[in-house]
Amino acid sequence: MSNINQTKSPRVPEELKVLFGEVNVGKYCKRHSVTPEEFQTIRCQVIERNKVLPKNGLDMLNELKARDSRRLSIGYANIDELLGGGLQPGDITEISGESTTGKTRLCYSALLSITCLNKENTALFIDTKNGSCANYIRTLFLESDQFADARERGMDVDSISDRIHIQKGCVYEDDLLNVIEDLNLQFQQKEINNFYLNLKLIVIDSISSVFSPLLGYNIDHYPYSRITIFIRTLRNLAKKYNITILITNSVQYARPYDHKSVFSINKKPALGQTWTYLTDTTLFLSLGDDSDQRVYINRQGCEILGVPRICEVLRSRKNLVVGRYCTFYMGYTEFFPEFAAI
Amino acid sequence: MRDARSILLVKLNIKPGQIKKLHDAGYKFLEDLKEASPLSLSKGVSVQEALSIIRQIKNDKLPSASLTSIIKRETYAIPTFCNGIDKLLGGKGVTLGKIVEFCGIPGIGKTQMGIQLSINVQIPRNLFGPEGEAVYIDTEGSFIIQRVAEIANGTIARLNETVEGSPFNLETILSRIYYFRIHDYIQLNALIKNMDEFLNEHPMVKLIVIDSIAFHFRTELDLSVRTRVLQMIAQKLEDIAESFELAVVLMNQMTTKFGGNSGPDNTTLTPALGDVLSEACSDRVLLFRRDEERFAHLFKSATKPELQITSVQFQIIKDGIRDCPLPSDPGQ
Repeated sequence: MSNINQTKSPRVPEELKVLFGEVNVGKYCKRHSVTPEEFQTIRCQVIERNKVLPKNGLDMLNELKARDSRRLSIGYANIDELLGGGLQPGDITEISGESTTGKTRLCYSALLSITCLNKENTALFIDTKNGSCANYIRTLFLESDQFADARERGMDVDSISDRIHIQKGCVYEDDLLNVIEDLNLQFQQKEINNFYLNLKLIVIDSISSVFSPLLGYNIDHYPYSRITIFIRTLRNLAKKYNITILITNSVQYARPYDHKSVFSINKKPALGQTWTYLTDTTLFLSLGDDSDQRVYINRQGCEILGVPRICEVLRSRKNLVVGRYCTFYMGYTEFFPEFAAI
Repeated sequence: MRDARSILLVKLNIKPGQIKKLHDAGYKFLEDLKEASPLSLSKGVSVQEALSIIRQIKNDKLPSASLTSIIKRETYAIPTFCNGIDKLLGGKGVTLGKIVEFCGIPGIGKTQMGIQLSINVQIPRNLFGPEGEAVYIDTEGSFIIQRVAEIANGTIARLNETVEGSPFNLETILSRIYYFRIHDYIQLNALIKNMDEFLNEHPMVKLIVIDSIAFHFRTELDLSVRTRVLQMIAQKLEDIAESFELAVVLMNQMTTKFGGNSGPDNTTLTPALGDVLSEACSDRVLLFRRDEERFAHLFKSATKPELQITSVQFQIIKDGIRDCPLPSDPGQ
């Protein structure tokens, strides 16, 4: 009976056996010295503890409306529109594209946009390629038009720098799992550290460099199931504590009949078909015509040269219009649309 | 898959001086330390240090750092002796901990760059250099020792110009370059997988040059095998660069790409090996020739994307890589 009363412990294997009827009643009773009637009560308690309660359809619609109002901006309005208003807490959004299309840049934008909302929000950037640059993030905050309002409101770069954490050295799958498990542990402490209490965004850049080396035919480590398990753990964390997840992915070669972006020639998101079932929304960034560069003058008077990029909604499980896209120019500190260029 | 027990000490938050003392005392992995008591550790380090080390390893994880603390950390960079290229790479040269790629057509100076960097990594601390050793992995056989000696002498001469009393000489420079000659991609893979061991025995290594990474992958390898092997190598290099805090410099060759953004019949010269390498490197520099002059162009940068539009001129002389004299200077 003792293991039933510990409501906080994880599911012990015995519980599962009791639930699924795999236990020999006589032996169990002898071993734990309970009567058969008490065993039936134990069984009922196990079922009680593990069952899921239904939700009413109207409640679900109301919940959806409440969730929508809590969307977070990624930092550029045109892409927020593609996302249906912004990033959704609890969802996993994927940004894929070739190298230098702006995936990491968009992640920095999201980090800053979320920490600029108020003085408490924190964000975690998990860097699997050691390609992050703390100075660049600070420069973006100090010079970009996107955050001019935040600067005017008195948001200070040091406060932002304290609230954005970068986790480097997560090159292997074990490291990623350790980080997520550590997060889980931190949330279960009696006194949760402020950083975790206010954690609103986790960015993983990039997931393909961790899992791609494991994939391919002729390998028997069941790598696809490992990716699925990792995402499932991550998703549980996100839903439970209402955290937004942003993951960058690179590309792989696509055959003519593969589903891919209309803007890219034979490239589609990496990690295969299994991966497409694991994320809620996929944005795909493509290169525009590199010779078409435009100049933009930002509020501080600097001339910013921008290269053209296209962002397209490739897949979505959440009612976004698939195939919608926007073109924009990506400069050193700014994203700007065509009409804003000189 | 990495064995969880073999977490190297260098990956934890212990100061490099303490790590060296622990290595000398025989502790290399986390597992060794777990069984140690403060008293036995304090034979090599002071009791206070031993207690702090043990407290740290109890946590057993790599902590995440806020931007503020990352900026406060000192980073060393390996200069190329060409100010223009140094600026492209982030200010002072190739930063430790990052993977940089140099690509270009044959004869543009990639090997020269590799040799110059292998020598410059040894510049002592009091001359603002990283004071480290270099590993040079040669796949093409282009590392010619006479040229290395020439460039080394050029470097010594130049450092003598700036500060009196050069603390290093030809013998020490050459003895601190570890040269590996690789004949196929399997050897390359094996070498990189075992680089951990080598680096533990030579903790002063601060640079790994692979010249060139493309050579053995352009033969009859199946495309998917090539991609996977490259990804494994890239992953391992990222791990090494981060844990041992060293710079990795890859030299890449060029290939012709048909079609692309300019139209289906146009051809462009692009770096070989496709997107895989691009994802792993944080900076990519293209070396090219225009009107008999050599230029460097940054086309992927993690730290200075605003410099991606400029090209920088450099020259290669008997003494190595140098800036080009400005037009207003009288010719030398």
